[in-house]
Amino acid sequence: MKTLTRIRTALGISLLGIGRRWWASLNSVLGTAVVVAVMVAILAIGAGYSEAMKMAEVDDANMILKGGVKSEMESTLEGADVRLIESELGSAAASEVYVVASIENNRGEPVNLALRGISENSTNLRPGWTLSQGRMPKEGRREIVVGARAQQHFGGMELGSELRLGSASWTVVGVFETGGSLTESEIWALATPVQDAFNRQDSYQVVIARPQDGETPQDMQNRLNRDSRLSVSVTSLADYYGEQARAMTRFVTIMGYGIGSLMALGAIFAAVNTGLGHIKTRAKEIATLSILGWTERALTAALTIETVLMTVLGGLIGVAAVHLIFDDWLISTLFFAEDFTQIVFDFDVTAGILWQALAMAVIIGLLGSIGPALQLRRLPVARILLQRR
Amino acid sequence: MTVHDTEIAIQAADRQDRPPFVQIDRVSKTYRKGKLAVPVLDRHSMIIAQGDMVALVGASGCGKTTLLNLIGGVDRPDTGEITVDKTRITSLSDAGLTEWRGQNVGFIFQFYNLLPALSAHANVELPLLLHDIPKAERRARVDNALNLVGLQDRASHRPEELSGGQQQRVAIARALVTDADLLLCDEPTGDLDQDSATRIMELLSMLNQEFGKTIVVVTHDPLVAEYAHRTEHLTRPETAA
Ligand SMILES: Nc1ncnc2c1ncn2[C@@H]1O[C@H](COP(=O)(O)OP(=O)(O)O)[C@@H](O)[C@H]1O
Ligand SMILES: [Mg+2]
Repeated sequence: MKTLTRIRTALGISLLGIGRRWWASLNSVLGTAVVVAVMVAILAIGAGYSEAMKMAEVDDANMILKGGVKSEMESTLEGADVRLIESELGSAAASEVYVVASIENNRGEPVNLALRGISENSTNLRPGWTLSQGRMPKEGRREIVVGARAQQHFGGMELGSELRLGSASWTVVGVFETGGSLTESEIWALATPVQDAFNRQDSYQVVIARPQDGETPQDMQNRLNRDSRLSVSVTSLADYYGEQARAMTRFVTIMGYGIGSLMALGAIFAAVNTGLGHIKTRAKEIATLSILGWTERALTAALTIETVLMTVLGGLIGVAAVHLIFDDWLISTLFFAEDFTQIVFDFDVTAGILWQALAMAVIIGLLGSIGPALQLRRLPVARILLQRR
Repeated sequence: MTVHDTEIAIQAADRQDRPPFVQIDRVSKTYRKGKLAVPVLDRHSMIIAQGDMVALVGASGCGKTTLLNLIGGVDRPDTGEITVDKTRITSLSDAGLTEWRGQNVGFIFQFYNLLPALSAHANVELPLLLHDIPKAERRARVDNALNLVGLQDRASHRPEELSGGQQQRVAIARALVTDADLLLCDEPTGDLDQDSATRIMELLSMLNQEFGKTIVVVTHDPLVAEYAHRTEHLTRPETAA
């Protein structure tokens, strides 16, 4: 109780004089702001990426791939296999062709995009799928609908535009949205023209199907593989994209924390500097409080709290800056999986990142006040009080 | 011996009967600067009676400030015991010592040591913030202390708006406000002109006589020492290697 009073009053007295030291205090505020901004920016990229990879968990559908393969890219299911699968499942299923197509973005650079040849049920099996503009491709025509994010980010995909994919030219007839998920970076056409344009004859990459009640992907896989003519791997859409996202997410997270920590060292030095300057300019005040009964512990605590308040203020400024500058930016990156198609996602400052940013600011403040606290303990109180100023 | 001198002698004898307030028992203090040892006090003993006013004099560097800081619990002796008003302060913990001096000692320095950002009133109030005293009572006590030093009309002034003598009176008010029984003054007039110095010493004298404060004044000014009931001469021990 008494200690709290001492800390509170020491802090109050120190803050009264902050007007004279604001330049020094600004140092640690801004130092922390920059560090936190960079860390939040990198982690927000990671979070936006993970978010895009995450499909709606409700009403999850399964992906049926060729046995033993891990990605759509590697998978091939012959037409005969697909028909076996569809008859075995009995429920709504969508067989799809998946190819990587190269286009030029609006800066003339080549970009790999995923082109998906769909069938009738494909849209129903993607939670949240909606056609936001135009219409669906018609049978027998080279028509495509493009994902909203692909359209926004790469350009040249307005309704009616022609796009060269594979050996053919395609007309954009619609735009679809899936709530910002990875699928929005894709281009969709009907399966048959894609097979024609890419010489795929009667083969597919994947069948999307909803499981029966209570059936796990493994159950479905066992059920299908019971037919000796079939060898398939089954995963849920969520697991599939989660797995694909893992490497990239880890990379971004390590970058975020790695760069963040390195920069944090700089911010800690800024805080130490501020704190030491602080002790120097406030030596008289500290010595006076000490003589009047303020314990070293209380004075140290007040110093630490003040430093942490400054760095947390810096952290808030950093977060606010990132928010103002980057929020709703779209970013594209190579999909960190075997096929290296570009995916587009947005910058996502999550609550978790905010807490981590604040924790970082607090840690910078705490570490930054150790040196000044030691300095405070060594203050020659008696001698300082004999000096004129 | 004049009548006046006799009176002082009688008063002094009177005070000898009073209980000891500060007991300094074979206290030693040596400062160390690297390999160099600077012995300042060597088994120094001294008793200050309750209500006494003592002048500590001696050549510059002989250890007056050091002794004062030991009595006030700002520093600790290497060996020896110090007891103030039945509290053996040499046995207190660091935090305990800090708390003790905040409650029991008023310090007055040559350069006042007021906080420049605070008004005279707030400066005087400072030590009370550590006591559990309601705001209204704090205010009354601060007003009272400022009255006593004759600065009631300067309460809202910052130190830089006050003369040296006035600042020293604010410092005295701050030393008084907690009702500490022991006032330790290190060259309290060292930075003041003659008139201000006289006023400060009269104030301290009054606090001693009317409020029974026990006062130790470090000074090298014989005029200041005259206000004390007795003068303690400090000499420096032989310098050891
Ligand atoms: N903190 C310290 N470290 C080293 N030497 C000190 C320290 N404080 C005082 N001294 C030395 O101790 C001696 C006594 O100092 P002090 O008590 O201030 O003397 P006075 O007040 O009588 O002038 C001086 O020689 C001074 O240089
Ligand atoms: Mg001295």
